[in-house]
Amino acid sequence: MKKILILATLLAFLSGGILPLFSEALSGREILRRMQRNEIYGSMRSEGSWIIRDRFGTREKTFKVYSLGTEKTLIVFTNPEEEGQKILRVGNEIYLYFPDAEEVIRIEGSAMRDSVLGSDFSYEDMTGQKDLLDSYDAILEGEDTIEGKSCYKLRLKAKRPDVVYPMEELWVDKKNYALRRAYYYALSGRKIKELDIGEVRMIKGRAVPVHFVMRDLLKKNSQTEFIISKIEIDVPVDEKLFSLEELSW
Amino acid sequence: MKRILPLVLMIFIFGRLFGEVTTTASLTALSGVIDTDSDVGVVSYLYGSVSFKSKGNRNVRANLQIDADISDRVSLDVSRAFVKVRFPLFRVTLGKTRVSWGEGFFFNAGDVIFEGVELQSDISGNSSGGLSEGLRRETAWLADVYIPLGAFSFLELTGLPFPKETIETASGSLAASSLAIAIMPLDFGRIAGRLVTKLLGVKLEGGALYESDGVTPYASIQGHFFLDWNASARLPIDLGNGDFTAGQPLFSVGAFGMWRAGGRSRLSFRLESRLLPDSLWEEQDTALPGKDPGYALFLYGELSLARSDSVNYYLRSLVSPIDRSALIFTGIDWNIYQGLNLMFQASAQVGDSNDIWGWERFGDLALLTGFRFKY
Repeated sequence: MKKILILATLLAFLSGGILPLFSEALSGREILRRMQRNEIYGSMRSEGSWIIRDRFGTREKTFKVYSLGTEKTLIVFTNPEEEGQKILRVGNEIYLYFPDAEEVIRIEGSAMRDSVLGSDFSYEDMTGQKDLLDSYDAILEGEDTIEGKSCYKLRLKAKRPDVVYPMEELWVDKKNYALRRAYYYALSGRKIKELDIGEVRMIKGRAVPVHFVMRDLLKKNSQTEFIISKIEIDVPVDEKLFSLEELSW
Repeated sequence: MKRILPLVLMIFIFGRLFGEVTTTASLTALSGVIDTDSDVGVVSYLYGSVSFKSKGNRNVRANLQIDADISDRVSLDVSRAFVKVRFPLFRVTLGKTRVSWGEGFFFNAGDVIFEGVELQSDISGNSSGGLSEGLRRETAWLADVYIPLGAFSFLELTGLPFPKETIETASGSLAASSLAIAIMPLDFGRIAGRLVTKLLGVKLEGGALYESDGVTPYASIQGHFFLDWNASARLPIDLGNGDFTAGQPLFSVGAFGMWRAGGRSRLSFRLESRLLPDSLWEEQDTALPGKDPGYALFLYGELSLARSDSVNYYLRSLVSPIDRSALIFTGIDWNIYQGLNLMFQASAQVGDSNDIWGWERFGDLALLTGFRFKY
């Protein structure tokens, strides 16, 4: 009888009585892990652009991205200024291809944090190399509402000195764990950037941000808009794409 | 000029009719003042380039590119004209293009095909889309077979029918005129092969260039240990005299690092050296301006500060430690509008009158400003 009681209590816990309480008590780390899980695909093909707007006008760069698992990414730039330039990441290595020079350059270490084509994004950012859990401690600070969406509010504090932002604040959608807003701070505590997610698309059960805007608060009237115009997840992607042969083709 | 224009029009029209073509053009216009030793002169020039690239076919690529250097005269060059075809196990490139062998940004002892960068190179990078492309502008007529041996290994064989001297003469001249030589003696040609692979995180490359009077084997390595580093070496062997010690070994080594410099700023540095150990280690009294009398050691240094997503400050220097002279180049590159870069540049020579670079010489100080527009 005692055993049945324990079993019944356990079932009650698991079948819904206690489980929602567990989900309500998620740690900051777990929320961050679930947010990042949205960004992991078996394979992916996408096309998009980023648009830099400042007081002088607008500059647009367009690209195609192919990825296989978490280890392989190929980015091909398609705008006239950078047409044919490619970035290949396989594991911890990044290769750049410059068609005018017919040259492949392999970069490692600090060079991976360099800006891609003068944007706000680094090679690490663009190729999915960065894992926030490795770099930050995540603290759940409470809940908030962003654009009508109920969100967890996280504060991220850097574990390492070599990260770009020593502190970040993130708002993560409670429903689908999509990032909705982010603030980035300098070591002095001054807010230097704001990221707003304009549109999140549900694709094969994952919440994928497809339109977001980064504002640089150190520059007046400056922002980078990132638009994914076409995205396919878990579709066949040829493994040969992630080779030096394809890179230099 | 009359020969080139109909060719360009024909390719443009036929390209539009029968296939997908991507057309890009770039113009770099610069103007400024230069110290001509006895006086101050005004200098103005323009580099232009039009490129027609095929697209849409996954297994065939073609490119025709025409470059122009325009000042008070116009010099045209068909810098690229090639077809590249991919088969299941290999790919073939035929025509005028370039291949990048060896490791090194400025000095590259492994580049046995284009000999690496010479001291007369334009460290401003103005002659093309930037320093990287500017240093690697040279192309050659070649037949190239590329055989992949896995994701990061390959074998490449290249045949160059025309001798090196022809390539150098053709650079900047009308190479695609009716005067272009189509039949060359077999002895004038060169063949080269290389194998590239990766072992324990280090990129390894080895190969050789064979020509009628000699063979030049080379090796290059590239890796990361605190900094990105590379090293290359070559040893020309004179087969004509059977003297395996006649050629001078040439070495190049380089390092590259990058750091965050607060906010979005990034500071990067590069240091490279070229070493000919059997060459001259003592200063010569008869060095001609900008010409290497055969010194054993040269250094290239570069410091760059990218302050934002569109502004880059840089300082580059080519140094001859043996005669203690240097060419220093500094500037600002500002990507102000789509495709448009605004440039401010200054260069100075440091050294005595009998050094490679020297103060009180022609061009010892120059100030330039201009635009680069790619569209």
